[in-house]
Amino acid sequence: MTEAGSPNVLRAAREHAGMTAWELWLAYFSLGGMASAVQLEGHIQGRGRLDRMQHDILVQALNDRFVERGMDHPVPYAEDEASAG
Amino acid sequence: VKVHKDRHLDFATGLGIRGRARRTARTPGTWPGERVGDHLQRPQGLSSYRRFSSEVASAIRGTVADHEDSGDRLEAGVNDLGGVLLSERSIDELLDLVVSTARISLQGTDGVSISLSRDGTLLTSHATDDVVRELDHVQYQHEAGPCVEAISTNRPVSITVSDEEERYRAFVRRAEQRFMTAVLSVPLTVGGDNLGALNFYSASLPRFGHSESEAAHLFAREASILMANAVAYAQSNATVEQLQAALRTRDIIGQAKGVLIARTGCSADEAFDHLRERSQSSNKKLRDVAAELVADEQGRVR
Repeated sequence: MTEAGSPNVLRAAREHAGMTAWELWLAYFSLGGMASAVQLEGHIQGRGRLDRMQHDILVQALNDRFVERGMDHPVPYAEDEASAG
Repeated sequence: VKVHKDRHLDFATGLGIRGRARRTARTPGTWPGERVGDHLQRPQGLSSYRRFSSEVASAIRGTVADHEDSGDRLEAGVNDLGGVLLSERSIDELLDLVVSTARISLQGTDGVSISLSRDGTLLTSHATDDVVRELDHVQYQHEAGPCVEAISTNRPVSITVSDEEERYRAFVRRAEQRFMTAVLSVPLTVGGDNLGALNFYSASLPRFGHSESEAAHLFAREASILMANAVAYAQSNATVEQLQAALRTRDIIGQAKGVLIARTGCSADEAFDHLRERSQSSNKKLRDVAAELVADEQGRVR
């Protein structure tokens, strides 16, 4: 498991959230994310790595969607993964 | 048989093209083609629009050779049309122009319409008059007729109305009531997707021949390109709206971080972490947490 989260978890979460790459980037950007759509996709696919803050903003974008669906923040933030691992 | 003594008059109307087409576009995004789908090719752009316009212009020269002066004037009009930016005007209005220009350009043509296939049903989006709308509609109702066939087979269909009694009974009956003798329907396709058909009706020709058919294809391509533009235009508008909404949220979150930084002297990253933790503990979206914090701060200052 990498410092900035597991790509597998992110991919699965995005799929579960039913978000396209564009929708997820928009949500991430809304929350103040600084990475480009290409960098974000690279992070999700495990090709590049975003720092902890950008990773957590991405996770928040996913969790916000799950909150809309009545679920309570299922995607782990960097610190949760660190303490779990 | 209807005689085309009004053709010169039509060309005079055709010269109104420039004035009409330059009118400011109505609000985009309500055009029926916008939901056609995501599988369309990128719009082919202005340069190809210009190119096809000049091809249409030469086709017009060919088909109106017996009215050469009018043909020259119309050619100038069509070329002028190709030089304008599509985004500045209503694509809907341009499609109206396509049908009216097609009608006066193809000899023996009395009416032209555009049939659109949308969510499995057919509708007439543009037509030169109510007679062709009615004749299109009869075909949709009975799911039989040259236009329906052109769309379902993705091939042009040219018929002599009186020959098709068996195949298209209801349509033939109505078309004969309206004195129509021939119909040509050309499919409209963009990037392999079938969007509908461009229909030509004649009350004088026994059948649309080869040269009319060629010109009809040019107009069909024109309509297809305009439709592709309409779809792309609607999509780009949607993108702009999504980005505007994203910026509004981003702004609220920026304000909330600013409040936290002012209150506690923390860093911007720490401010985000704080918002995130509050989102988790209250099970609310980060945006809502941020909006509450900003409203709270405003309440305090007042």
